Amino acid sequence: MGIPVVDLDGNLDHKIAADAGVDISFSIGSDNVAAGAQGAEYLVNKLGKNAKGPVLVIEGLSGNITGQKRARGFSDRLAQLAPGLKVVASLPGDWDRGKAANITNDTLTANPGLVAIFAANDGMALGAVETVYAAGKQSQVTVIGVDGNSDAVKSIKSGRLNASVAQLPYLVGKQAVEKVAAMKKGTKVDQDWIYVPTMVLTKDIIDKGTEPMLKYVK
Amino acid sequence: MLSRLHIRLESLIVLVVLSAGMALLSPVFLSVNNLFNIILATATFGVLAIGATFVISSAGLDLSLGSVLGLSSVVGAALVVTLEWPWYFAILGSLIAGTLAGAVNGFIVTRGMVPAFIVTLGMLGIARGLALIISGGRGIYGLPNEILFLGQARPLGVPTPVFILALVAIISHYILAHTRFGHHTLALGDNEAAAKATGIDINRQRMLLYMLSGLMAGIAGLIFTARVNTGDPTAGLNYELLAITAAIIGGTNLFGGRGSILGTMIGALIMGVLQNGLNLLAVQAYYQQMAIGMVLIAAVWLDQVRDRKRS
Repeated sequence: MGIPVVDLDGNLDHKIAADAGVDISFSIGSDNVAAGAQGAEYLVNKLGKNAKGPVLVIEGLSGNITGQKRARGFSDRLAQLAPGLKVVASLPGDWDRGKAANITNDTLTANPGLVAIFAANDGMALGAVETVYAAGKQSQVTVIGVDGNSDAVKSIKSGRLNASVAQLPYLVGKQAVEKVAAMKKGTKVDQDWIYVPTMVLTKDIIDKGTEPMLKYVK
Repeated sequence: MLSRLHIRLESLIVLVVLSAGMALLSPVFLSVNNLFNIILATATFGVLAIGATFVISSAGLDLSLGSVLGLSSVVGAALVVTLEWPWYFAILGSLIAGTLAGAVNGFIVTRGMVPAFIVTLGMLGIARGLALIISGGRGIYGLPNEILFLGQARPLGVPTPVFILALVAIISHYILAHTRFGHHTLALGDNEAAAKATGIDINRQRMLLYMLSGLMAGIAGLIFTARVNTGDPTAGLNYELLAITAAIIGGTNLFGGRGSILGTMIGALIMGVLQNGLNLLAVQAYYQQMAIGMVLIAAVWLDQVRDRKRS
């Protein structure tokens, strides 16, 4: 029919759509694997590549592709950069702060020397960090989330959450519209997948406020 | 003695066997810290399960428990963080929001004569929507220390929510098992026509039961907020299923007429022990789902076997 179909956030499978007769012009969104990898890079920067210790990964809802990509991106990169940091548990938090809190308690029981927690979204990261504080282990455990939510930013500013890999959804929407406008003028879009970068937010970066991408954080 | 406490032997057996199994598989399972963590993790949906027990015992149903938990979480946090009212308004706000939602449920069930399944299903959506509207779809972060105490502190080494759950459970058990209100609840669930004939005010009884259930959701919302330091509009998603499951495993009859708070607590602990064990053993996500499903069926099957033997 000639109406361009754009997939925001990259949840559609291009082959399946093509088989069904739908031509997706392009998918645009965050690269969730890269986001997980950035979390690992932040952690190794902080602890050093020779660091040793158990690490907990809190996954999203079982079977959810976004959560899987972030968790995998983190675990793979971590193994590459710092083999001494071992993922001892990768448990489903179901995007639920309460469940993440319980997972954190239980993993601290099984691994009292826990050094880091990576959660596939901010909600779960916040559930985890509050539990780490309640257990008195804040100086020992680094907690990292993904999304860059407003409550995560508040927590980072107050010094509780260590970092969050922020998505830039405003930028995703903006670039999508710009590309469609270009398409309408006749410019061909040659990429199937367009990845909008994610950025790691820490207390330093937020306090300094000089990072140009900060204006796209939610 | 067990029947005087209204506990079903079967659920107790399941709890003991499951705990023994976990203790064998994980050396840290029986540590005091871990046992308290189990009860802590159980506290939120355990309080919901108490509300579910009351309502289901009366042959009713409350599917809105999880959403009302979320609404209460948001209201309490909004009053204290956004409006910056004194800390105790988080408590008042959560409890009142929950009770009011329950009152709306009760009103429509009794006056509107709409089936409870539908009414509370509608409230599930309405409460969740309200929570998202009030919070603007984001978490309300940063509660005062007095509220964090309710969720994160360990007075005398025991997490505060454990005290809260114990208090609510003891009072609720007394109400259901030893007061006229409790007897009327079970009578209503057993045979509504007979209950009416003996002069019980059915509408008033139902209204109070749904308000009680809402109050439980409010308390659970408060515990949740205090534990994660956030008024979270997505809090409690699908928790009503956990609450109803705990009540059923604990021996509450889904069709009404039989229920026990202590039984529900055992049901909740069975679920808590299982999840705790799966976490300690770092069991992979997909296998966890299977394990939980299998234990649920086994627990209720054991219950039914004894029932069938009796009749």
